[in-house]
Amino acid sequence: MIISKTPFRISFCGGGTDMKEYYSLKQGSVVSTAINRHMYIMVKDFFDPNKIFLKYSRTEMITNVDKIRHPIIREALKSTGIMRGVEIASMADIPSATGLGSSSSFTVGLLNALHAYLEEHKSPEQLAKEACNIEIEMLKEPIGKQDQYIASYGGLRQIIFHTDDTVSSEIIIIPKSVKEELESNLLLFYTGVARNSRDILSEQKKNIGKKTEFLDAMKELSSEMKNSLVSKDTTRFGELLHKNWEYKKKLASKITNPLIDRYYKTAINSGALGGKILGAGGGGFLLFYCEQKKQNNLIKNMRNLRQVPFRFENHGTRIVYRD
Amino acid sequence: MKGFISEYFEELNKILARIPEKDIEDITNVIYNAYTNNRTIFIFGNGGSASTASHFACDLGKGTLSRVYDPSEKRFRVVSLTDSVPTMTAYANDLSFEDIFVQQLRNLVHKGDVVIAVTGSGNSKNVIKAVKYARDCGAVTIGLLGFDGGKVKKLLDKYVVVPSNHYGRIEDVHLILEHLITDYLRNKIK
Repeated sequence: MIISKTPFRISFCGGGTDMKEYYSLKQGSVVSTAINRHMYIMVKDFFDPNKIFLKYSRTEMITNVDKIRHPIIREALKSTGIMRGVEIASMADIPSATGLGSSSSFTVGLLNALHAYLEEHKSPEQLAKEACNIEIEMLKEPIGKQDQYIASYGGLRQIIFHTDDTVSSEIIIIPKSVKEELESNLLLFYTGVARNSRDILSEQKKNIGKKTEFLDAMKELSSEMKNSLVSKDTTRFGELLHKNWEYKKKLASKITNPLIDRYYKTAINSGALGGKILGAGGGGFLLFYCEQKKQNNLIKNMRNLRQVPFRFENHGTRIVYRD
Repeated sequence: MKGFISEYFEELNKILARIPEKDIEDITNVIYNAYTNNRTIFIFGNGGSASTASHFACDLGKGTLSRVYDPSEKRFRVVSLTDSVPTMTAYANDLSFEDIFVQQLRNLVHKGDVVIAVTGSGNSKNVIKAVKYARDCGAVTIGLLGFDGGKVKKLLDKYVVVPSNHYGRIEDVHLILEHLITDYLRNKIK
């Protein structure tokens, strides 16, 4: 049996410039971090060598790979060449469709586990590429490429999307004290709304031509954000988070809504310097940057929302068990 | 003769028009995934299909190359089980004719590899035995078939059945498919 453990992520800045419609014309850039909330995928031989048994939010027992209803599992099995005799189960720390990149964490973690099951080692780069191919090329999801890369590599990173479709990324090196300050000043709240990212992202993708100036600005912010971290200026980081949100809101009509706007306003009035909705928008998780002395006030004023503690995660996808 | 020629061509055209394109796409994808994952592809068959197996391996191995002197060019890992007369006759003589392919697979096949069975009837015992073994090893099994697909069909993950009951036409089309697939892949990986 194989178990893979793959981090979720929090995207800080530049989301949208990782879509092909943007980066094929000019280089894209995001700042993103893996967090210590994970997706676990288990893969083992199945008792019936001619069948496939799947356990996720539903169960499936099938004899023909093409009949699998879960699109990512179906394409991942075809891509790796596993046609039968396998059992797959998934578990996660956080529910799906909440903006923490869970579907790409799932894809990357599943591919890592399936390759390990086949006794193959794949590099983070190879896993990210294969995951992008499945989600974007095969399944036509209207998503970018940052989630697959951060899930594969882990860490706090600036990721660059080049016009020739290649991707490079580097760890943003910051002193431990700055990292700890950042971690304790970032607060994550769950709106309680799981949303369908597809509609929002499809609109955002369609808008890219019209919204290029905003995306250009967000890309610039991602480099500024990296510099703010390198120069240990966490206050500036918080302010840049706010600037990014001001642009992000404009990329598609349903990224924010009156409820999210109200939460955001409350947070800023309570002392947060900046924040954003994570992922596509419309619901899911809210992130705020707030200095410690004002956090009690913020948490009190967000009392309807569940706070989810987290830390940064240095590891990308890993095989944590193998027998 | 004139009538025979035109009838032959016409029949071939009709057969080609009835092959589901999706089936060809599916087996091509399996072969392409094997390439990207560095898996080995094994091809085998009897008689005319043996020559198609050898021909297919030659084209996938060499015919897909665009920069033959470039050591960094990624190549197909492909073996036909129909190329070694010593090995085939050794197994046929010492064990049985049914064992000539499966015994070669036992040296080499690994989970995730791909086997391609080329068989007009779909009923050749040595082909069926090899496909069964490949399945048990966790290989992806695909086939180029004819008639109704025969007994091997249900053991295959993906296949193309050439809709004809004539061995000659079936083998003609298998060769066309082999060329079509390798040509497509050569352009795709270029």
